[in-house]
Amino acid sequence: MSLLPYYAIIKDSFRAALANKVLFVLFGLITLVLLAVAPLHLRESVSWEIGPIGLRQSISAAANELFTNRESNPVIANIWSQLPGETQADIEELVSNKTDEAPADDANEGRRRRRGGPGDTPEERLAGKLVEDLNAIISKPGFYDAELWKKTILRTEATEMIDEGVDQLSDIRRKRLNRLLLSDAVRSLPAPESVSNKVYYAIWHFSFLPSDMSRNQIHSFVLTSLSWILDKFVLSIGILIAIIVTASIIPDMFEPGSLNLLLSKPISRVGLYLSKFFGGTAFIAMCAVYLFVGLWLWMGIALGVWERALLWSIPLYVLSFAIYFSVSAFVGLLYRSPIVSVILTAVFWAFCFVIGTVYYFMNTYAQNSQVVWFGEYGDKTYAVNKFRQLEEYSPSSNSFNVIPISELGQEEQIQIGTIRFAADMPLFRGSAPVRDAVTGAMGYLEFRAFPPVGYDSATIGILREGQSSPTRMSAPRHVQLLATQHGLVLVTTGGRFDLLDLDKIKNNDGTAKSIYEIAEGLKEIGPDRPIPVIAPGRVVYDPQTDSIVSFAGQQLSVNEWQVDKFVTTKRLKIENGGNTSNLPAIVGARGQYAVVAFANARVYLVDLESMKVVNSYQPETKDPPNQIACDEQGRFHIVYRGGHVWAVAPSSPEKIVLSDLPNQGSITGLSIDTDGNKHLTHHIDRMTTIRNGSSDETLYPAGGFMLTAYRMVVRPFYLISPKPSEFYRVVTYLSSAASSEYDPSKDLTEQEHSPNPWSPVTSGVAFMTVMLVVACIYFSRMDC
Amino acid sequence: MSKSFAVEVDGLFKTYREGLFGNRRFEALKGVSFNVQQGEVFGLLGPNGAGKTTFLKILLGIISKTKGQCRLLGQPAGSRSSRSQVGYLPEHLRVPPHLTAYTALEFYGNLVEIPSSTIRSRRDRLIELVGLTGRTNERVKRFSKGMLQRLGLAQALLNDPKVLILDEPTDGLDPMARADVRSLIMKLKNDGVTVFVNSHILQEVEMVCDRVAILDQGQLRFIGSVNDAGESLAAKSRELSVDFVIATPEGIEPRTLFPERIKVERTTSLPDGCIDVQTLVPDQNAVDAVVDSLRERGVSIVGIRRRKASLEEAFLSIVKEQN
Repeated sequence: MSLLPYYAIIKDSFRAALANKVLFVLFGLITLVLLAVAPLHLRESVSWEIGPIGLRQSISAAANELFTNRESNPVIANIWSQLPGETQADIEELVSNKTDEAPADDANEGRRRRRGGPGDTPEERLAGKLVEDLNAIISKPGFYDAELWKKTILRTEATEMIDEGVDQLSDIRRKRLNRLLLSDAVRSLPAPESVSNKVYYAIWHFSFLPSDMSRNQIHSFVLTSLSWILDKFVLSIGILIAIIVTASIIPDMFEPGSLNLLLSKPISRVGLYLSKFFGGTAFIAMCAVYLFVGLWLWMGIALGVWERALLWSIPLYVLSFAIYFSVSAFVGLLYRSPIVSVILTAVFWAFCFVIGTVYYFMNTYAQNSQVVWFGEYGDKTYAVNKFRQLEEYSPSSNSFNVIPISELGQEEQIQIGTIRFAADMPLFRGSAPVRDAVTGAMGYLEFRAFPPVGYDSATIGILREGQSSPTRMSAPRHVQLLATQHGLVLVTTGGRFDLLDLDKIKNNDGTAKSIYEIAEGLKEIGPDRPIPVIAPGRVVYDPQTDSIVSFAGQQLSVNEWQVDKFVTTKRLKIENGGNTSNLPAIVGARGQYAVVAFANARVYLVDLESMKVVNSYQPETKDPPNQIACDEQGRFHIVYRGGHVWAVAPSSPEKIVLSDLPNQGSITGLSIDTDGNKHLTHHIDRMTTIRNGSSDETLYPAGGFMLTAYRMVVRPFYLISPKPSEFYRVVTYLSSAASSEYDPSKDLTEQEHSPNPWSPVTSGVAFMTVMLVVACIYFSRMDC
Repeated sequence: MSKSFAVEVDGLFKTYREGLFGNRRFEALKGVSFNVQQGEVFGLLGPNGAGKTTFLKILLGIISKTKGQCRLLGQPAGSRSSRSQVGYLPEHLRVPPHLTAYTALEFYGNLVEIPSSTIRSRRDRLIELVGLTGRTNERVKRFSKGMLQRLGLAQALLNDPKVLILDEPTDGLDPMARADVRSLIMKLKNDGVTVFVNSHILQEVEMVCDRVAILDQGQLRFIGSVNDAGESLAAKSRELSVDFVIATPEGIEPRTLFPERIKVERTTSLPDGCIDVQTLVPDQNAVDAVVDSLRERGVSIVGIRRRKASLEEAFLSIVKEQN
């Protein structure tokens, strides 16, 4: 079959576009956009200012150094004397508060942050002040006094400038010298950059941007801003213009005397329709190429960043147009009117927008409700939802009710609600509840994370038998709670084990005090040389061997109970091959064996007696693991994010197999209790208990109106509707500034909301294909 | 069916369905059957709504048939292979206004898979043939209806078609151009091209067509040569059309010379002083009686001739007869 006729139709589309000047109008508009952004550029200059970003990160250390040495070190004393009294007082308060606190542990950061409230911590306030004050000090000409600085070890650049003669230096170089001197005097201040990057629009400086933004940070800022602008303007106004311009392509075909002649030619109707469609799309693609190549060149030349995401935007935004154009063309086929095409396409766009928005909010609500763990304690059934809130089952209403653990003020509740819905962030995380073997109390954790405002902390809840409300304590984020034979053990991010003495941590006033404010309730029980454990899931307690097994710093450690504490007895380094050695992982241990499952799905079976890797496996999945549970036969069941569970049996270590559990593919969580009962949770809010020796029990908790509407109406419509407004996710994913998927500090036990970045593209292509197929079938069968 | 036929139609039906659930039906063609020989100039006639356009659309595959057989050059009508051998000039031709005569020929030529280089080698001859020389690079939006028809003819001839289907080919053309089109059709006929003409201008059809078919209300009412149409009408008529050319004495009204049972349709004075009297007479005996009567009255009979029916008269007669 010759493609010449279809090429001719596409070529004719371009001729039509050129003839009616539309192409030139669009090119003109794009040129205006490019001219508007062209003056935005980056200027490099000699760096002399202290920037807020760097100082914020080292404020505690810098404040401490300034305060501690304010009398003993003459240089620092000189600097201190030039600081305003208010700043001095703030430094003093910060430092004194810090020394009052419990043992040094990076985890204390959470508590200190909490005191200041979201977005307004004392450290951040002080950092802001100190930036201004120190920059004012080093701007002064007389900062360098040879006599004063003679005992300070200076870096080479500073000594060279001094050798040139301070008086001979230009104003900017003198400030640079002062900046170098300041860093040499106060070592905990951020090291000075050689150049500073400033963003200008023509001659105007963007002073609202931090002065110490790196080129990468500026790049990221520009790309984020650009993505937002493109998302809001190109995807709305731009596509509307494109639809208006192309709306007549199909209806024009039906003009009397035109269609009959075309159909009398030896071409297929499918080919004719698709040629018209791709002709219109190619026309818009030319405009997209002009816009994005223009922006790409601008970013490369003006900002020095050759951003590949901008080039990827060309096919993405053309696809985005093609999705709506497939609707417009089909309407044109049905009604043969450009106006009806534009109106119905706009209605369709509005429908997608409404469905997307409703889905966005309801999905967050549904995510909150999804259960990822459930189990039984005594005669009660408990569950943990996706955001790790503990819930208790109520048989009378067939529903799970959240046991409130956090004490939230009204303002906090509003903030949480706003951030949860606006930023789509999981704000609550935690661990499955554990049962204290000594007292029978149930302990659980709830983490709160407010990354946008720098506010994160955890709350530990202890629910004793017969108690209706828990005893609460605030704790640093990422601590873990283990149920051991000796009681509940708190594992800090520093890798230290603290035994909780529940009798001593009674908190009668009901407020959530810091765990460190009840220090007498904590007893350090090892190990001697703790290795920081960044994320939960990397530490487990094995009741069979009475040991804590952890995986941190690429090392699997066995900490056995000896007399009154856990002692590290064995260590094994697991490389996991080449560049992937820093992958996050989770660990499981039972008796002689342990398994380590990495984020790339790879699993290692380790013999803890010989401390050797028995075998390693690569299951047929690319999802990261979420949980590891061990059954009575000693088999390790690894739950992967995609909903499959794979099993490794030390008795037959040659291969990894899919677990013999029902509903593979939809499992969100698995726990196995001491009686060997398996508790499974599913994507569809169904919970199954597989009991030893008796039939399975499945629980179908009532979802309520919101969940029913979400499952039956909103989600099905959302799944079939295209999602061009989410293309920015793909652009962000493809951008060179995008972070690696496997952040070493990533917590694999937290089921993060990280949808497939390509899903908007695949769903868009699927929708467009369906529209084109339906249109082609209709056109092929219609009598014209 | 024989391969020597350009068009073969057998029991062709087309039913349009209308309404929300297709519950309203309209039968546009009701079992039409006929053949068109290769190299023949064939005219398809019929009043508005007779099913002519429906038939042409089925022939070209623009719409599907409901029942029956329809073949073009031995291939199923509408197949790509048959369409590649056809040139078609639609009624109310619309050429995209941004095209020129040259680019239009390139566009339509490419659609029948003729490379642009071949089109460039053919276009000037065709442009000259249809009389568009000097207007080749002008946008067709400035073309008159006649010029568009000429361009339509040129595009229809681009692929050297074996069958040329012309739907109202002289629509909008001036008398000179009509004559040119007639000449062209005759030339194509001589070249062995089958020409299928659908036209309301019966005189044009009469002048160029070897055979005609008359469709009415979806049914074939007549098929045969143009002469056959007149003969058919004459055969069906109960009266004879007879023209008497007489020389009468001055002051006598010619109508009074004919008996009452003879219908005098028209009298025309001829330059030589004679009078042409067109009559309808019931039979041959009446003709003899009229001759005797005229001679008795001293009227000189210069001539008598039996008048043949025109295609238009035959067409009207056939259509009226059915209605």
